[in-house]
Amino acid sequence: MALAEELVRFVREALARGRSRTEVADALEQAGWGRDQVHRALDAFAPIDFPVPVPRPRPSLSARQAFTYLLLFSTLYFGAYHLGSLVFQFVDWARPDPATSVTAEYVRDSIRFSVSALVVTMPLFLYMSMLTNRELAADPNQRTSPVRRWLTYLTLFIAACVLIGDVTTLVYSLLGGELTTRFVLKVVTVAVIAGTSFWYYLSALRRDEQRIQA
Amino acid sequence: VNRPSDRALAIVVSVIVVAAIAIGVALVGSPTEARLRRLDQRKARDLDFIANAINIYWREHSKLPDSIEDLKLQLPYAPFAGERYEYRVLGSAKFELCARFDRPSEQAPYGTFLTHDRGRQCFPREVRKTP
Repeated sequence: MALAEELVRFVREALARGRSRTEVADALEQAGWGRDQVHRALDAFAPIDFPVPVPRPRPSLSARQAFTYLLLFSTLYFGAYHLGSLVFQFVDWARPDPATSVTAEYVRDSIRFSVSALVVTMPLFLYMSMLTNRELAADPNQRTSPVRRWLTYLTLFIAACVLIGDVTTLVYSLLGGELTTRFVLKVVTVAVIAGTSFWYYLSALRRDEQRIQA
Repeated sequence: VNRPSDRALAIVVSVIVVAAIAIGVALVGSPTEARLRRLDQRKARDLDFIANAINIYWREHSKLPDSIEDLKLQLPYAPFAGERYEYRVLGSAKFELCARFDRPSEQAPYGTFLTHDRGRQCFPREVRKTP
């Protein structure tokens, strides 16, 4: 987990000026830093008698984070696509398109695949969401992690593209006078799924940014 | 941060997804049902294959084969619990193929083996003399 640069810099300076480890820890805890964070900041330096604090090698955690967030967002995309596809099939079932040429067999196979995709991705997505949220709560500094921010903005971008395409299709059909209930239901489905994802991750980023400023 | 609104959203999304899965499974039918339909399709395709082979046999020998075995197909003749595809000669260029189906077919092009009712079904066919 990433440590706040500021905290590490403070610890280095305090140790360089000859302050003991317990003194540094007390000062930081009084200032409101979490015990766990203080502990890890002190651990960044080896307790060796040397005029300048000796840094310990620290493993970079960005690869692990990239794994977590890539898994989180790929299960989101895959699951969201198949939830939408499933609702589309239900709409077609409830209001069959008289001009359709797809067979019942094709519809059944499509539903079967979407159900399978959801059965797999949904629990995984919820678990990854819980995991990332728990790690964020344990270490608020992760909010500034570039991997998290980049991948979340990428998700916002994709959701925005889907919404733009959705509304464009709506306007196009509106102008062509082709608005059927079936069509409107499908547009609403896409808007709800992409819109919810967009809104949720936008508010997450907002919270990150508030935390950084605070 | 497991805020209450996060938890509420997770619950709402889970309920929607579980409902979608349930409706999907209800529309698709049980795995047993799916298997029966799949076996029916397989039988229909096998019949189609046999009929084509008979047409080719006729073009080469100018007569119908006496039995399916004459066609030397790689088909499993009794794939489903010992069932056989039945073949009967009806005339000099007319024959009949029969198989047992578990379910009536859904909308499928008329006149193919894919359109069938439930139970033992026979399809009389005329040899197609030109490819």
